[in-house]
Amino acid sequence: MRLLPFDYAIRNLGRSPRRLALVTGGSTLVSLLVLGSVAFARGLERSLAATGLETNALLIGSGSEESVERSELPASTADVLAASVDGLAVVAGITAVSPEIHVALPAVLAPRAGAAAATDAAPALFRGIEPQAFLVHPQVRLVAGRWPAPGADEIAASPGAIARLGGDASRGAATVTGTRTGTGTDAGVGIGTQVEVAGTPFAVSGLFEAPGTAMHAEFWMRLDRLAQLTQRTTRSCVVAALGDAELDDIDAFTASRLDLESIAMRESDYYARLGEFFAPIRLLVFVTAVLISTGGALGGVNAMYAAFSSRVREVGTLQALGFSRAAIAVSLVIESTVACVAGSLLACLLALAALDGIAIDFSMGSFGLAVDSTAIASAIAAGALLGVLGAVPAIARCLVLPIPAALRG
Amino acid sequence: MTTTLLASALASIALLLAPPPETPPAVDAPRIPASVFVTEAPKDAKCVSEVKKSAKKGDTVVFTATVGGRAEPFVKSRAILMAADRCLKPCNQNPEESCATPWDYCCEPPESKKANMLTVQFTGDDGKPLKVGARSAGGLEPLSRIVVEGVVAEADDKGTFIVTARKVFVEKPAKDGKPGAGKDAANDASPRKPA
Repeated sequence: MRLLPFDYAIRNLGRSPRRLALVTGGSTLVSLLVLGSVAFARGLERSLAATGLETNALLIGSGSEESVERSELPASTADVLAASVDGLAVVAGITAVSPEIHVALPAVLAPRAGAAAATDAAPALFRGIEPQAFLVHPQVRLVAGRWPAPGADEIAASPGAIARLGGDASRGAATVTGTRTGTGTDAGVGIGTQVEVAGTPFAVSGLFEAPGTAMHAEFWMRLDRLAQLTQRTTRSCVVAALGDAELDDIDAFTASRLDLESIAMRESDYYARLGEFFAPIRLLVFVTAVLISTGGALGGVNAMYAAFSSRVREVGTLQALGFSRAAIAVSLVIESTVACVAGSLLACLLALAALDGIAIDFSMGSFGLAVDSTAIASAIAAGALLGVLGAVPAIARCLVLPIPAALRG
Repeated sequence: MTTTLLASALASIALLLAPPPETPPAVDAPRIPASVFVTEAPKDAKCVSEVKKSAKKGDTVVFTATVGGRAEPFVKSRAILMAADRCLKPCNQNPEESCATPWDYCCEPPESKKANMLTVQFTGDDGKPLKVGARSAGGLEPLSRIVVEGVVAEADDKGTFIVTARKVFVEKPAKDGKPGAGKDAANDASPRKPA
């Protein structure tokens, strides 16, 4: 089969800039929506995978396997575990076993003198910790200030948590337009900023980061203070760094300590399970993106159909010159695909500039949209598919006519 | 010379293509001794709640129980399992409950579970649980009805009660699939009210 020259298809793209813009624009919209939905799913997966470590065991209340926030364990669990299981990681003489409370509480920036109090206190995720938490969560690091002191009404804030309060965090002192005075800025969420947590004012004593994890959107405070604030005597979970111990050792511990009513799993498995829990939401996002993008796809197909239909005589001439219908169809598909993939590339650039890393809040904190290689490949594949399928109606319209009829236009 | 090289090359290829020698099974791989599983139920079995009330560490006890207590009553690579008093009803015996893992007794209140459950372990010479799962050993499965003779390894007033098994009798399920209706249900202490 003798094909038409490749540059014939490319040169044809420039014959009608308006139609080219319509096709490319439609493809950009479709690709951007597909890319956004994939970036959403990938960001959520990445965040959950980075939060849970395979080297950590998580003890939670029996029956609360799907939500650490609902879990309750006796306060003594961490001490009993550390004393009962041999081989757990020990750092500087301290067994890496961290009792924690995870709870969502309403939080709002405390109003300045004379200013009206904020009425909407959005829930934010608070984690009550003891110093052992830093042994089991190496992803977390303090970037400014210090950790909350024992007994003090202090919290440490992450950038995502500050964003939930309507702020914008940066190292040292985060800034929030027109809110509170922080260290080194006139108006910012920084060291010393007051945050009302469930109606009680707390001072921000430090800023921490845990990039790419759900902890990047949490507030941390001392375990005993959070227990006091929430009037609970139990803990949500215990995280233990396995060290030389095996998960089965901890599982055996939970099977023998019936009074604790606990179960053990790898921390990574818990967050993987949580990812499965959010699968319907990911599907919903994808279906919504497909539905919306259908509009863009139909617009692009319509423009392409109009562009090709006006070239019926040209197609008839090519057939009269001896080019087969298949060769002409290939040329038209190339033309359409190049236009659509160009739109996809534009969508990728837009996404990298505007979408990548955007924080999305969810019940476990927040995660950033991940415009990674998978998302980009999905967008380009969507554009290519649109180019191929979108050309089919137009090709059928052009090639179905006999040559004399086509030449008459 | 050429012949030698050719022979060497052929020998090397043959060695590469040959299947790896079969690894003999590890001689000291831990397993629960078959002698633990007996064909006749130990006599004078009591129910779990009764045993938990009266027995102390070091006592020899005989009790009837049902394997269960949580969604996964067996520890994966340790010869440890959880067992519940037969007076506790698994969730599949409650028509109002639909539970994928009825052996977790999720429809029982926690206090009742604590009073009516214990842990069974199979230990090695070092006194520690064998590093092998007990599931399927001797026919042990969730909801298996068992009669166990063993020594109390640990007991406290908080609910911990660990028995090191010496003899385990696993009742054969009845033909209709209902556990415990088959052979040797003589020692069954149910029905009673949970402790």
